[in-house]
Amino acid sequence: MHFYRITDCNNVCCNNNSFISATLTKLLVSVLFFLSFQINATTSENQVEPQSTDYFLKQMRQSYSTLNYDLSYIQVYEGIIEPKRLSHGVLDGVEISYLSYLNGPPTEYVQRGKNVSFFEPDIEPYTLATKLLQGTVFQIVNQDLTRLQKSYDFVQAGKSRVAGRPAQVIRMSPKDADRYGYLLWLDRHTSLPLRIDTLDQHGQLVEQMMAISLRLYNEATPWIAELAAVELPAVVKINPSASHDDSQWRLDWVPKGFELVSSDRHSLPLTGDTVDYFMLSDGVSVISVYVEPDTGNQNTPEPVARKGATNLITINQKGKRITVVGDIPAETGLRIARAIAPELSPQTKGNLNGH
Amino acid sequence: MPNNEKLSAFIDSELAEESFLSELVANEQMVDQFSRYHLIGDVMRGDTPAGMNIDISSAVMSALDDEPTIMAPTVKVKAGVKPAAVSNVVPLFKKVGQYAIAASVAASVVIGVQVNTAQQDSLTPAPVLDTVPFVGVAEPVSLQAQPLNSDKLSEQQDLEQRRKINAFLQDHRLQQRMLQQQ
Repeated sequence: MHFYRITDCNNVCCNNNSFISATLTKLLVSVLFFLSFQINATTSENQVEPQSTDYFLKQMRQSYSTLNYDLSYIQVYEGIIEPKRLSHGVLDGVEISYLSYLNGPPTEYVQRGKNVSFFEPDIEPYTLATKLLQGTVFQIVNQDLTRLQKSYDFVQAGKSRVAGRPAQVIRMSPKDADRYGYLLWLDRHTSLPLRIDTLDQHGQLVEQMMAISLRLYNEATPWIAELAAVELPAVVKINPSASHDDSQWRLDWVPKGFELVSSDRHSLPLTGDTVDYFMLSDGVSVISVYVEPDTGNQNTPEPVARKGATNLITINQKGKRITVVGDIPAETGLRIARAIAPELSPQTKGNLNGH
Repeated sequence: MPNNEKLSAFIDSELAEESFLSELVANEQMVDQFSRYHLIGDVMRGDTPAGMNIDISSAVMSALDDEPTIMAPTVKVKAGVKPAAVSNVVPLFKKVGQYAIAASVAASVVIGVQVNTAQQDSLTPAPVLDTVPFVGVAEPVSLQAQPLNSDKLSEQQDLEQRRKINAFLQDHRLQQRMLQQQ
């Protein structure tokens, strides 16, 4: 990225005396001249204009998975702050990431290639063949741009400064009121996310990720090298869940762009209750829908809970208890829950393609 | 009080008065202070010898002498609790491990729900799910999910509801993890 080096050089110029400054200015002009050719060249090659919204978003995804960096950030919910650190590196072509919760019970996730190891308090560590780092922040960063553009409009919203670095602000507005909107602050140099605000329909902040420091390295850090060599727990094989053709429920309404990702019947690990389960996703948010028979105990209230952008809604409806969990507005969750209906005939299945 | 300022300067080699040395040796309080200052310095620099002997035992013993004797209750060992598995992975993450004990205890106090693991063994469908902890906290974050109408509930209902919420939140995360890479 020659372009950005010039920015740095420019800063240096300001700090030096006028003689050097004059010489450097000459140099700068010539480099700029040279650069204008380069920019033209890239434009024609990738069909993406530099500094365009697409350019930043594509660079974000690429930088996220190819660069060597340490990103320390805080995640803020209502009054709760969780500091975390993400270390990333590529060693011998293998992508390694490490996410660690800095406060409270030690929680660490290690991604090495296609496997992720989970280290959590009180739980024996285990490894799954999965994608690392669920959570909206990483869903957005990892998602294919064309898929995101189905549900969101992207608009540049000026420049700012986060974690001591110049940032490009991009507004990610939802095309309907069924999902959250986002404001992205991307590093001007690498497009790595420095701050992501999650906003509800009224523009109120519900959750925030903010970088405290971003360090970039030319090569993988010793810590990444250590993670590359360390022995991680064996991969746990998950049997593909049993066929869900016998599912008794139908989702009559899902927000636009959401697709059924998986469905099965399993029991909740904590309580042992058996539930019919559906997972929906639009590429950014993941929604879990649980249907279980109503216990009939009228004294048991319907739980409603919220943590930042995550909402949990339970309703009792026609002898069943429906719970919806996900990073969606509570209204959307409620609407999904109310639209659950008993399956009538096999023909009506598979109508789940949004409306 | 002895002249602490002078003493401090003396320790930092900023006091050239020869006479102060004799003054120091003569004053027992100041000698104590002298040794304490050096101890503080050692601790701060991390120079403390491994077998450092701080004599608190005599103070404890004398305090104990004044205490009435209480017969120690028998400790009941909870059945069915598996010993913590030893993994060869642990050493790498050991540096944070020391917090785990205190933190997990704190978490269980907050949530206050004990889960009978024996009940769920037969129901867990996937091997991963065996990794649910003994205490009703799978993820610390779920603690922060507050039932919105908790003030209207009895304590028992509140606990039951929290447990339910935790169960769903935990499963929500688990399901996302188990989704195979496509």
